[in-house]
Amino acid sequence: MSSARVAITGLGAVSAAGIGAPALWAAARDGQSQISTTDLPRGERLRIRIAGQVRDFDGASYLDEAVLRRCDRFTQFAHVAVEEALLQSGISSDELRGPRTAAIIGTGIGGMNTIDDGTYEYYAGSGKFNMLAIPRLMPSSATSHVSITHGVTGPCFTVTSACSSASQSIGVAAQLIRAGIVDRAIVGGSEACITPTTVRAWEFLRVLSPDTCRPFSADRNGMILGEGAGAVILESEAAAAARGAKPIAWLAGYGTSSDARDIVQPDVGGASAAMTAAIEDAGLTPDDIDYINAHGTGTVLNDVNEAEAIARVFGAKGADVPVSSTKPVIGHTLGASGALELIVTIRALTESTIPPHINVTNVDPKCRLNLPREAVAAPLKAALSNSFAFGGINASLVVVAAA
Amino acid sequence: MTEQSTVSAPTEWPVLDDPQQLERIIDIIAEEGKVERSKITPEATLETLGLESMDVVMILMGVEDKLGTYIPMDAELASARNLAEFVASIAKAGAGAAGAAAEKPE
Repeated sequence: MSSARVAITGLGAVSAAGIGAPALWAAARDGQSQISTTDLPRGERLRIRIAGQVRDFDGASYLDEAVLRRCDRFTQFAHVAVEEALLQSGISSDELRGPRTAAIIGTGIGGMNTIDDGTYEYYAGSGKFNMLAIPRLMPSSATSHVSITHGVTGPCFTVTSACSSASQSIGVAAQLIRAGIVDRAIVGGSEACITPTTVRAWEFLRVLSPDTCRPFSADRNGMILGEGAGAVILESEAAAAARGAKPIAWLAGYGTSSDARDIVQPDVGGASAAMTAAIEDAGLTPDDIDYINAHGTGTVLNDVNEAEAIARVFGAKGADVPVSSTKPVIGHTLGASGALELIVTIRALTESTIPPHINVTNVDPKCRLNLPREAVAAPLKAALSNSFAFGGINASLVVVAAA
Repeated sequence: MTEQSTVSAPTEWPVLDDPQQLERIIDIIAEEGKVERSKITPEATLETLGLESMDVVMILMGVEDKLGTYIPMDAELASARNLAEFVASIAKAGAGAAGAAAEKPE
């Protein structure tokens, strides 16, 4: 089995914290929740009025009008996050162009705003809606736009596995690089589905909190929706070295599994299998993991399952290794969450800082985890990021400090 | 919530300010959960009634439609050990929401 390291050379983010990976990291490090009252036209019937929305996002500030017309909000987010990540990587457009680059931008849903607006107009409005609805709403739209904009002609596709979409996108890209199929990849996830009908659909499942997301807290009452995009530039060690690029960190391991059980109920066996596979893939043992960025949704369904899975993988150390969730800060960004949370995990390594786990009042006794309430300065060598999706698809990524 | 583990589960229905509210909640459980009303006793559990998580979702939708209260799956409901506690947590959430709504005009 190949265990070649894959270099991470660029990060980009759009989230409730604003535009940019630095804004995301600052919010996570400072434990500043970005959840606020939703600004949602046609949302009068909703019971849940809070979310991690990207505020004051104006695609026209980033994209020219011809491109903008073709892009749903989720694709606009992806464009902006990818641009930032590429800028940081310092990679030239010539190096990027061609068949040795892959683009894989995951999403749980795709162009939900386009679907929602079009459906509304068709049934209740003028009947006229966006002429480009089809290419805007297709889940592969963000990937295709990244391919077109940057001349990427290698493997381009979209992974959609609900909340594991971004983590699987990043993981499978790392496998393509290790296998020598491509030298580099533009990867991540994007989601923009805070629309009235989507929020209502989530309300039906009764997993949304009406007030605060408190993962692993005894008094937790659900998750909060978020939106955004996370982008990561991956390169083979050789390709990065050839252009003199210094890795931010190494993507060292990827593990994925499917519960093959239930469409909404998670499974300890599936979650622990993904974590174990990622750690083994990195050539590490659980003892080497210094920090876990948990899936941590704030639902009873996830939290107890994830805590038990961590205990199963880490044994006695499961109660010691620091764990925090980014979801109380930016909400659950679904198909983007794996990328945005990996960015937080990478910045934790580069800043030698464990971001705090906020909003806990009393830790649920069923979740025996070390949840630091304040940021902790600590040298970190390796960290794990978890995504456990509806449908039972699990994905974990291991990143290792560059030094 | 942590106290529950040391106290045994109640064997009687909760006493509600509006006694009809108890009947309404039980009706919703019977209708939405597709359970025979006679089997819904304080000591019954979700398991003995064969109610799975999706049935609970349906019941909570019925609660929202008929009683006007949004109740998450999580929070207190998730730790209810029998129907007496399950009904009590629905009634409590409903009373809280009604109280909040009543306070709103101020």
